[in-house]
Amino acid sequence: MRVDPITLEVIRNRLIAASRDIRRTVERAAYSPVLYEVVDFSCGVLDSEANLLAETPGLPIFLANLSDAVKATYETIGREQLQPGDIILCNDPYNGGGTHCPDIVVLGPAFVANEIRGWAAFRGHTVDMGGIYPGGWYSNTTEVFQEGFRLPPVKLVVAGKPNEDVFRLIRANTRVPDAVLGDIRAMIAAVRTGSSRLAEIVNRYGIDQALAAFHEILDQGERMSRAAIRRIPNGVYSAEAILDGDGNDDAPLDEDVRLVVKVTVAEEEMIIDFTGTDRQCRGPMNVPLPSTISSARYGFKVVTTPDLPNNEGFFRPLTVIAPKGTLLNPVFPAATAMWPTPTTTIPDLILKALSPAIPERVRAGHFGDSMADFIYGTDPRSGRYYVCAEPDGGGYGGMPNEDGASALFSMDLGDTYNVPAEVAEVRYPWRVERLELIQDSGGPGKFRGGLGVRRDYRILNHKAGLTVTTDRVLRTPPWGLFGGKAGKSNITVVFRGNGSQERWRKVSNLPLEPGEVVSFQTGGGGGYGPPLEREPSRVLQDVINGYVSPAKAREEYGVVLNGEGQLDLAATEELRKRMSSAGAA
Amino acid sequence: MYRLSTDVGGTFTDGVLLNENTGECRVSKVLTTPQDPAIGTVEAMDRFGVPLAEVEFLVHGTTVVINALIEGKGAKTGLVTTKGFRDVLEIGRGNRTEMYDALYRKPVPLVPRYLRLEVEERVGPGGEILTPLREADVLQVIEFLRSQGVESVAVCLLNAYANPKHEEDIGELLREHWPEVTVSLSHKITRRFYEYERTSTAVQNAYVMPRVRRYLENLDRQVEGRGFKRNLQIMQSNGGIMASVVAREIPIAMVESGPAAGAMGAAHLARMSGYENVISYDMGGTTAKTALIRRGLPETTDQYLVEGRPILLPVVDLREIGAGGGSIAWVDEAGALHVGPQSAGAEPGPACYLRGGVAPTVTDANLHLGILNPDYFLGGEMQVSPQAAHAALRQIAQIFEMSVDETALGVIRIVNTHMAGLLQSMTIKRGYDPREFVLVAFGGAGPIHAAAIARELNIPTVIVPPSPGTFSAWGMLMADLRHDLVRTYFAPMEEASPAAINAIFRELQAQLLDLFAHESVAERDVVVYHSFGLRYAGQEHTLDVEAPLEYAESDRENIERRFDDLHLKIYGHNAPEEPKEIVSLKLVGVGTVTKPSLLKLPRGKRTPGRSAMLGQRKVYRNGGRHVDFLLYRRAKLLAGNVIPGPAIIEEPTATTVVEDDQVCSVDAYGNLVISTKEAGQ
Repeated sequence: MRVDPITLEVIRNRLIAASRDIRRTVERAAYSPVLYEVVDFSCGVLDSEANLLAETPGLPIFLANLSDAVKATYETIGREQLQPGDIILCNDPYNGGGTHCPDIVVLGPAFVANEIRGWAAFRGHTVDMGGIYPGGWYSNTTEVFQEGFRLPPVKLVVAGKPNEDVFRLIRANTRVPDAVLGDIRAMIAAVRTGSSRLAEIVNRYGIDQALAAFHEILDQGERMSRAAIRRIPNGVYSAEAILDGDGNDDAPLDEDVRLVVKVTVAEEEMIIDFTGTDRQCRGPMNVPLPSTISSARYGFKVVTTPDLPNNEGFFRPLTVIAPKGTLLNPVFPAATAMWPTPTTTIPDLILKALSPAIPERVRAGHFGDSMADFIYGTDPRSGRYYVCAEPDGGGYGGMPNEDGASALFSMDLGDTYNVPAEVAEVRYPWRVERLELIQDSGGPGKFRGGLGVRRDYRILNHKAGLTVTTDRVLRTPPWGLFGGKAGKSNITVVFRGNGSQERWRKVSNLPLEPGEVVSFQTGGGGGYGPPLEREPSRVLQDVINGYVSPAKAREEYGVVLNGEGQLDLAATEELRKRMSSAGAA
Repeated sequence: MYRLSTDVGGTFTDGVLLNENTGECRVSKVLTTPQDPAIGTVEAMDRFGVPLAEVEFLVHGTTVVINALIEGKGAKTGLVTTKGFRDVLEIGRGNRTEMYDALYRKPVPLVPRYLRLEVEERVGPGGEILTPLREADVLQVIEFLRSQGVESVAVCLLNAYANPKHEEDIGELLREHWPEVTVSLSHKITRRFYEYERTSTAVQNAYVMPRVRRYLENLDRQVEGRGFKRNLQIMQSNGGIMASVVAREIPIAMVESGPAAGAMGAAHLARMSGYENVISYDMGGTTAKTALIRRGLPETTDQYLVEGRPILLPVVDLREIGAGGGSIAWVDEAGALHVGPQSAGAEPGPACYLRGGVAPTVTDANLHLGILNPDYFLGGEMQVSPQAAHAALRQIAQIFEMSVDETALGVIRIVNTHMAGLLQSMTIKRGYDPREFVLVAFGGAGPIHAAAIARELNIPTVIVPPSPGTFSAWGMLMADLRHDLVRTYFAPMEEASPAAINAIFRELQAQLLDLFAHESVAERDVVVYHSFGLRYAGQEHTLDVEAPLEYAESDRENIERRFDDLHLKIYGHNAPEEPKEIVSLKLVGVGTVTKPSLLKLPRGKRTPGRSAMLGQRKVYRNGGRHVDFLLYRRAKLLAGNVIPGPAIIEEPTATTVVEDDQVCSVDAYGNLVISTKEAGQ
C-alpha cells in the first residue's frame, strides 16, 4: 500500500509527538533527580518488530537499547503471552537491559485488533537496584552477580493490573524503595500514554495505512543516511585509545584495555569494526553488545545526519562488528557496571578516525568520562539515609574555527543537567565550596580545548562514603588534532582532615570524615591545530580572562606579555620562530 | 476619556484607542522603527489625533528587551559573586541540547570572565551567615569594574534567596560609591534557589537595564509632552502590567510582553462571553503561539529561555512553533514532504506576493485553494498573484505526481497537524482535555486555520475577535497590574509552621503593597492569591496548590488532598500516602483595573443583510471536489447574524473560515463565535 506524502508527514509528526509525551510525563512525575535533572533516560515508540519509529532525545548512548528490550521481551516472555494492558520491566544487562543493573526499561505494547502494532518504551537510571554498595556503579566487581538485582523481561502490569509480586521483589531489593518505585510508577504512566497514542494513530489511519507509513518512514531514514555517507570520502580510517586498567580500583596499568575502531566508508555504506579491541576484562568495564551498537550508532549519527530525528531506518546502511568475548561483546557473567566508560570514548574515537576524511566536521577529543560520583551516608539533619549520584561536565575539543566548549557533560550524556550548589546544600549535608573552571586545563591549539571544572564539597557533621570511577586519566588524556595538544586529565582529590591530599582515579566506598573535602576536577578538551598558529590577541584575551596563565601563554603558545600585561609582538614573533624551528628539529 | 495601548512587533507597531464614553475601539498600524521603537510608538498614538491629556490609561508593550538580548546589544556588564562561584554563569547546567552536534556551542556568557568578580562572604542554605561580607573586597570590585568602563552591575550571591543581607549590603555600597551605575540584585528579581538560573536572570536584567531606562525615560518624556498625566503602564511577560517606574528596575519582566498581551486579551474576551477555559491561538507570518487560560488567568511557567539563557520569572506559558502564513513547503533528500519551520517571512514573502519569493508557502496554498481573496488582500491594498502561487505549488506537485489542488490542500493539512499537535501537547502536559476549552484565534493567519484545528481536536467553540490583527494591543487594555512574588521555603507539610508561613506571606504582602504604592494602586483594589509549591518528599518538581490567605494547621488536610488530586490529573498517578513537602510560597498580587464597557453592535436579523454578502467562491476540499463557500464582509455584520458553513468572512487584515459542519454567529460585541452545527441546522 502506498501512503500519500501528506498522510505520511502527518503520521510522522504524530509519532514524534507520542514519544515527546512519554518524556513529558516522566519528567514531571519522576522522584529522583538522576531522572529529571540528569535526564538519564531515553524513550521512544517502536513498531511491532522492534524498529525504533521515533525517539525523544534523552541520553544519546541508548540508541539501540530500546529495540533490544522489545526483542528480549519476545524471546523471554513470548509474543503470544502478551495482552493489552501489559507493561514489561527489565534490567538484566544480558537480557533486555543491555547496560548495567541500575538502568531499567519499562515498555508496553500497543494493541489494535488483537495484535501488537507497536511499542512504547522508556529506559532510565534508577538510584539503586541493589548490589554491593549503593549506586550501582562499581570499580571492584568481577561478575554481574555482584552488581545488583537483575530482572529479565517480566510483567510489571498484567492486563492493566499491577503485578504486586514484582513490586514486592523490587521493594525488597533496593536500598531506596520509595524513590525507585516512585520512578517506576512515573515510567508506567508514561509508557501507557505512549502506547495509547500509538494505538490511536493505528486506529485513525487504519492498520494497513499506518503500517505502510511506518515502513516508509524507516525507508526514508535509510535514504537520508545513505545520502549523508556519500558525502564522506571512501576509505578505511582507524583510531585507538587505551583505558586506565580493567575498571577495578586502581588496577595495575598492565591490565589496561585497548579499544580499536576501524571505520570503512564505501559509497553509501559504513562499517564500524571493533576487531582488535582487547578481550573481555576481569573488572566491570565490559560493554554489553546492545550498548556497543548504540555507541557506534551514536558516532555514525554525529558524522551523518546529526540534525535529523532518529529512527531505525537511519542505521540500516551501518554494520557494526564486535567479536564475541571481547570487551565490547562480553560473555555472561562478565561484570558491566562501568559500561559507560568505554562507550563515552567510542563516539569520540570514531570522530578521531574520520578526522582526515572530514576535518571540517570534527573536533579534538573531549575529557571522555561521565565523571560519575556517588556520595552516601546518613544526613545528620534528618537521620535519613541519602545517596547522591551525579556526573560532572568537562572540556570539549577545539573545533575547526572555534575554541572547544567548557563544562559540558561527556558524550554519553546529552541534555543532562548538573545539581545546582544551592539544591545540593539543601538536599545533602555538605557545603559546596567551589564551582569553577580550571585554568590551563584546555589543550593548547590554534583553537583551544574547552576547560574542565573543579567542584569541591565539604562533608558536614557525618561520615560519608565515596565511590568514583574516573577514567581517561593516565593512558589517554583528551587528545589534540592536527597539531593541537592534549587537554588536562580528569582526577578526584580528597583533602583529608590531617592536611594530606589523596588523588583518586577509581575507588569504591572510600570513607570521608566530617569536615573533609572532596574535589572533583574534570579534564579539558584537546586543541585543534598548532598552538603557535593561534592569533596572539586571542591568547591575550585568554590570559585576561584567566583561561590560560601567562606562563602557559609563553610555553605553549609562544606569546610574550610585557610587565603591563600587554602583548609584546616583537618578542612573540621571535619566540614563536625559535619554538617552531626547535619543533621542526 | 480614553484608554490607549501600543504594541511594538517585529514588522508593525499597533495601536488601539478605546473611547470610554462610547465603548468604541479604533486601531492604528504603523511600521516599527527598529533603531528607536519609541518613534513608531508615538506615531501609532498620534494617528488617533487625540490629546493624551484625555487618556487616563496608557499601556505599552515592546520588543526592546528581547531585541537587546537576541542581538547582543546590551550594556557592558559586571557580575559580583560569592568567592568560589564566579564561573557559575559560564558552567551553567552542563547540558547539550543538540546532542548529535559534534560542534556544539554553549550560549556565550553575557559577562566575560574578567568582569566576573568574587567577594568573601557566605550564607548557608538556612539563611545563616557563615562568613560575614568583607567590605574591602566590594570596594576593590567597584574600583576595578569602574576602571573597565562597566555600565551595569549584577550581584548574585550563593543562597541569597534564603537571606539577601549581603546582596543588600553590596547594593548599598554600590549606591554610595558608584551612584551612576545601574544595579541588579538577584533577590530583588526572585527569591528562588538555583544559582545559575538566578545569576543568569540578574545578569540579563543588568544587561538590558541602561538601554531600557533610556528608552522608558524618553517615552515618558514624550507622552508627558503630549499632555499625559498618569503612570505609563508596561506590559509584562506574566500577563500583567506594571508602572514604568517599576519596569526600570526589572526590565527583564517585559521580555515577552506582546505575546503575553494576546493571551490576556483572549482571557478577557472569553470571560465576557462567559467562558473560563481558553486556548489562545495567535498565528502570524512566521510562528504560531498558544497559551492556556484557566479560570480567567493564563497558565504561567516559572522559567523561560532566551537564546538558551534562563530567566527565572513567571511568564505566560507560551508555546511556539515555526508555523505561519510564510512557512515554506519543501521536500527533503529522502523524498518526504515538510512544511516549515523555515519561513519566507515578510521578505521575500510567499510566492504570490511577487517580491522575489519562489518557494510555496501556506499563504500560497490558501490563496490557491480559494480561501484567500486575491482582490481583497489587506483590504485590497496589496496585489497578489494566484498564478505565482500555482507555479510555486506545482514544483511540489510534480515531485509527487499529484495535482496542484491536492498539494495545496496537503500543505494545509500538514500545517494544521503541527498546530493541533502544539495545542494538544499544551493541554495534555497540564492534564486537561481540549474539549473543555474554547479557542480564541487571532493574528493575521489564526482565523483561517482555527476552525479546522478546533474540529481536529473536538474543541466545540472558536471565537474570532474584531480586528484580529491588532488583538495583542487590545489585550493590553484589558490587563491588570500584577506582581508575582516567590520565596523558597522548605518544610515537610506535617512540620510546616503556620506561624512561619504566615510571617513570610506577610513579608511578601508588604513588599507587594510597596510595589503597588509606587504604581499608585490603592490597597482596596488589590487582590491577593497565595499558593504553596508542593511535592512528594524526594521529588524535585512542584505543583502549585492554592492556599488560604491565613494558613492554619486545620487547612493541611485539604491542601494535601488538592495536591493529590492535581498530581493525578496532571500525571495520571499519585501517592496520597506519601509525605508531602513545601518548597516555595508564592503570592500573586493583582491590582485590578476597572474594565471599560465595550461598544455593542446593533442587533440584526438572523440572516445577515444584503450589504454583508459578497457572493460565493469555489474552494477546493477533501475528496477532490470544489465546494461553494458563501462570502461575507465582516464590517457589515450585525449582532445576532448567523452564518452556516461553509463560509468565509473577510476583513482587511484577516480572513475567517467556517467549515461545512460548523455555524458562525455574531455576538453582541462583534465577535465571531464558531461552533459545531447541531442536528438540523
